[in-house]
Amino acid sequence: MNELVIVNNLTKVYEKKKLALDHMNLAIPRGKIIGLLGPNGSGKTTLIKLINGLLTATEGEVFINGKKPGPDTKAWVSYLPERTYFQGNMQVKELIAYFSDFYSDFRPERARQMLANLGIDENARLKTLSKGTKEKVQLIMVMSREAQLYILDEPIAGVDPAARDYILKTIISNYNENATVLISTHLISDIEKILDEVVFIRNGRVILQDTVENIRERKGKSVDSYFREVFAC
Amino acid sequence: MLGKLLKHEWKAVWKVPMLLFGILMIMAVMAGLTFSLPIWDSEWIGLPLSGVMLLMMFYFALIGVSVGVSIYFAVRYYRNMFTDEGYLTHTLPVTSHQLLLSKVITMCGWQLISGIAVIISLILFGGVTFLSLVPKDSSFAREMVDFFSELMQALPELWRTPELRGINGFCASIVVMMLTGTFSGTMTVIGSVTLGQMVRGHRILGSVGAYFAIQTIMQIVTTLLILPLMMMRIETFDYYIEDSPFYVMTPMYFVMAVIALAVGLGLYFLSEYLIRKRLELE
Amino acid sequence: MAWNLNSDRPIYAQILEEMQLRIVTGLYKPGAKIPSVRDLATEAGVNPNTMQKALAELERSGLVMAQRTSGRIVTEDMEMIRETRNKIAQEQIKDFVDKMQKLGFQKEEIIKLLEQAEGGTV
Repeated sequence: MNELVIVNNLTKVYEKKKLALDHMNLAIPRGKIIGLLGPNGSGKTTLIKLINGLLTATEGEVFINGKKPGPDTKAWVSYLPERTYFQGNMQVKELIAYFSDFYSDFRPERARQMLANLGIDENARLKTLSKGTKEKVQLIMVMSREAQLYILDEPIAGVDPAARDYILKTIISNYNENATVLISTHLISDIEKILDEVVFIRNGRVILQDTVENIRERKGKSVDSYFREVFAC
Repeated sequence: MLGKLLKHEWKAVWKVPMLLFGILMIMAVMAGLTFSLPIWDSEWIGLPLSGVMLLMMFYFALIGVSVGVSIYFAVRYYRNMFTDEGYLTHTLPVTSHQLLLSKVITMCGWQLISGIAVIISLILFGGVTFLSLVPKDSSFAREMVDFFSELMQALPELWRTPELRGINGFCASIVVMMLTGTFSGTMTVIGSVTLGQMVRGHRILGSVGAYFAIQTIMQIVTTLLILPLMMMRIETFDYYIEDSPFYVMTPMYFVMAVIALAVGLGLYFLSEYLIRKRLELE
Repeated sequence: MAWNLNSDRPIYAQILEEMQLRIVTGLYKPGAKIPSVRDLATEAGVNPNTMQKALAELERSGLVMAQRTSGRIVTEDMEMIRETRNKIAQEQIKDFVDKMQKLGFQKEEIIKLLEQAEGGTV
């Protein structure tokens, strides 16, 4: 089976009848860096949370490696949410121990190397770190796993350009060719150079899935400009 | 994986209850020490009053410790499972049973430890009070020691008197009731926080509501089951033939234990189902 | 050294141009090893798959050669490097002449302008 993630007729209706995903169908291949692009409220985060088993689908299913989200898939999927999920009184090194214990694909030496590169003290307690540093620690944890699927929800929103470059470099240098990275964002111009494919979603539906080189070649414009055209108000 | 969860759970929680126990022990010693101070005969009302205040504070600390431990674990469970921390908790490669068991076992353990801490603090208070009150001449202290050792020797004999027939079963029923009560108490807290999550938008209010609902239902059920049993036993109770007071008490406690166990298990499976099938992280 | 990649055109083609430029200008010397795909992708901030594709194309053209052990080396065929350099020069000239003609200059005027410029800035 070649597809890593299969989304089948997936529908999510929140309380108050808000339709977040509308019978979505999507296949995500292996070994690609894929941008999940759409305006705010288009359903990006809802889709990601369903793939990670943090929400209950109203209708339809998700399969990762042929399995529904559960303990098995969580062992292969490395997920960076838009929230910071730490217990504040933990130390950075305790977090490393925590990840080492639960994820067999976690590489602590890789995490330590990246922390050292950024000058983050392992003895620091997480609650004493700035918001930006916490986000970097979280990204380092997520990228230090040798997962089959990385899901990064808005990894570059709200960080300064230098940090943005560091994050993109971290993603590129830790990525291995058998893994897929799914990056959701609305800041396309910053990441389009690292993407293989893009998925445009709007109102809970996939409206386009194509390789970025195809878009540039056929439309003669950047994915960012094309995105603006497609989603023009 | 359950072992790892328990290890990290234990590492994360031990400080707060230990701090509470430390405060409790200090309160016990201070309350006991008031009796050695010459404040009770003081002309000024403020001094004996502050002694009474210290004793009352110890009393409240006794109640506060188990309430405090319960609230601490309820809040931790809520934050760890249903707030931003849940994004990590629920993406660990563990089953919902393992996750829930790690929380239940840790909380039960700390409830039992806080029970033991309460007993130790009472002994500490008793001991300090005793030492404060006895005259400083050693013969009295020796008399007391003799008295207690005689008591200890006499206890096995006392245990076997016909009036106390069935005391072993009674003690067993109390232990069983305490253990099942700890389990059902823990599950009431965990179950109500989990149930509260179904009230989207008012999750904390929902949890508090669920707690009181479960408590009320449990009390009604217990009363309905216990009362007829007690009446039946009292009617057939015949002191002069063979029955000790435990004839009534022991079966009652066992029934209460069974009810607690059933409620605890029911809430456990309900919570596990809700976590597995109805999870909605905001 | 900076990679000035433009998102309007296929990244792959731009990487290819940049790599050719680096070889003909001697940044990567004949016979020397070039950095790994991952390092180059990280440096350029591009997808490793794209970098891989560009290097494979470079290999097909003969400018670099895959070694039996992992890695690639620049060709030692100086003739080929010179040819590539000329080809790039031709393309640059063609671009330049096209633009000048659009501005309305004739061939002779362009040459005259070039000679004047040579005296000045070059």
